[in-house]
Amino acid sequence: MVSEKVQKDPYLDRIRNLKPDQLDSALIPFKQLLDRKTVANLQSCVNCGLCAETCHYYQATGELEAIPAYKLRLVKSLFKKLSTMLGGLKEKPDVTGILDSQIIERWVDSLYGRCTLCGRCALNCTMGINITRLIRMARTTLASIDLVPPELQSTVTTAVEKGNNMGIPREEWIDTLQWLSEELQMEVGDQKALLPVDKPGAKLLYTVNPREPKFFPLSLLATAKIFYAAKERWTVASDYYDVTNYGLYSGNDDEAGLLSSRLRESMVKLGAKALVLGECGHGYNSNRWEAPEWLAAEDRFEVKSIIQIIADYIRQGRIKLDRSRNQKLVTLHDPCNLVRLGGIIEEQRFILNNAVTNFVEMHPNREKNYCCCGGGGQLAMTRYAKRRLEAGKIKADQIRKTGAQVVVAPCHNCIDQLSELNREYDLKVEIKTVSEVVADALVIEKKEK
Amino acid sequence: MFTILKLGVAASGLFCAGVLMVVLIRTFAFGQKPVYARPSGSSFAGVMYAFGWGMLPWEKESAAKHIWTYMGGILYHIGILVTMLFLATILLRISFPMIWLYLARILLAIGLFCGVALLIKRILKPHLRSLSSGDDYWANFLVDLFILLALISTYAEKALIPFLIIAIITFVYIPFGKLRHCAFFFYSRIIFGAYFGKRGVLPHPSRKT
Repeated sequence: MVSEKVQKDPYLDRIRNLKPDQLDSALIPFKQLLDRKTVANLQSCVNCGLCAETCHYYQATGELEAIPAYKLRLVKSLFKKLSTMLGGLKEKPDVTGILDSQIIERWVDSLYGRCTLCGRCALNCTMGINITRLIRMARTTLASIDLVPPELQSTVTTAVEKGNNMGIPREEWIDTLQWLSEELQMEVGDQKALLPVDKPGAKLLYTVNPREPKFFPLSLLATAKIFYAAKERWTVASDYYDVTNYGLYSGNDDEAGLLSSRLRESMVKLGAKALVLGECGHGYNSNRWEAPEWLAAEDRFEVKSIIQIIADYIRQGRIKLDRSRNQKLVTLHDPCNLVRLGGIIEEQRFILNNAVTNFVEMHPNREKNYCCCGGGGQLAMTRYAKRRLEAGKIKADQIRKTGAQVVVAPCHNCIDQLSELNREYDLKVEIKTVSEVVADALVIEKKEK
Repeated sequence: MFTILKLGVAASGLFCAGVLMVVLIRTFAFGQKPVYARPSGSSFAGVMYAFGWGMLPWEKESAAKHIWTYMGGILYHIGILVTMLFLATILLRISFPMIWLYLARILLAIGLFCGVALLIKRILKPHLRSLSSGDDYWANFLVDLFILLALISTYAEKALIPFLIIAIITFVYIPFGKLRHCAFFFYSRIIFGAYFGKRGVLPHPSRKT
């Protein structure tokens, strides 16, 4: 049930004091979101309950509210009230009381508070129902009446207003790039080595998770080192460089579309050939798969993950790696948005097999992997932090079983969550991005000064 | 009486098919949003997977971890199929060799056992009970009864009358409860396969070659 802390929250007070006309107004976007796929999915569930154990929240807590079929039922029950026995929408439904504060509270608690939109239930549903999409549809409905949990909305609002989700001022970003350029020059022994900004005509426009310049600049330096070694023509944008898009999680398609459109603006402005998405699972899903739908336009350029780019460098011999520089036992975490929902599955394995001497898979892996519980906006929604750490135990156990000393995760959100799990469950592991591991193995012949 | 019931079954069957058709048409009438993201895999291959390898228990953790429930579900549906075929032979006065009758009895008995077992599981498992509505119990009970009467009818002709009555009730009920999944199952699997296929997630690389 809802925790004590949550019950005292002004957000919940707002839900409890919703007026009937506010509640009714949510029905309009809900109906607009229905298409033949969602309607078919809403009518397909047989309540077999086999989805229960595919959800890490249910596995961790055993609570009914965490079962995907229960979450689906919340959405389905609204559809049922709005539809006829023959499946169409009622022409003049009596909307009074269709939604009430208690229903909304249950929606928020289960659909925001017990779901990372990881897609594991959708992959495992015996009927093939895309439960994840239906939950996001419900989040969109809640977003339409401003009921996104405030901490999550705050992240989105910061990105919308400041250009990146951490609110990093432009000057600070440029400063960071400058000193990282100096670091790069020292590391590779080349005064011409740079992290290029707003370079017109570059082949690749690279986008980053703002937590890199803010807290983990060496992660950005690692990628820059790889680009340098590959002699890539690349650039970052001085204004819109944020690969993250928390609109995917809040459910607000307008804001999500706006954030993704900015990266496309940068592409057009700089004339780059490909948009390269940094190591961010939901950033990949948002910008590769969802953005064209939000913006109702096909991308005229390639949208690739940095993981694909690095794998290509290795295949093409553009970078040389010395695996002996990474001798610790390494395992790989598969971020849900990159792997199960993104389709980037084997490239990171190919990279690690070339960059480390000892690589061990966790089980299950690839598209069947467990969510670390850092997605779905959970890291932002601090009100659900206890649940997040509890549900993350499955991931912690997975890691522990491998005996690995290093966990590689091609996603900064996952890295945040894995770092917390590392402390919570005393895993004693190092957590790295793919770029960091590759950079450690890079063979660069230093130029003479 | 017997002839009237047979006509009733035919009429209720047509009613069921007709209503399901209307439900599907109304579902499709919701339309489809245009899709803009470029594919990186094959939707077609994904759909083929969804109806092929993807149906195997080890391909899904939900099935692999609950192999008896999964097998029970499969055998239950085979029992339903045999019941429908048996009903068709009654309506169309088709005779068949005794060996087929023996086989049908075995499949009906197994299907019935599985159906009842699934019903008991639904009643006994707390989380499943919490998820269930009256429709879940009624649909399961009704279909179990349908199979049971088919099985008895293979031994005693007197059971044909209640069998046909239950067939009528079942056909009339199908489009209005969870049993309508018989129409939506195929479309939902297509949506599933196309979604993960387009994104290059399924079929898994080991199945692509």
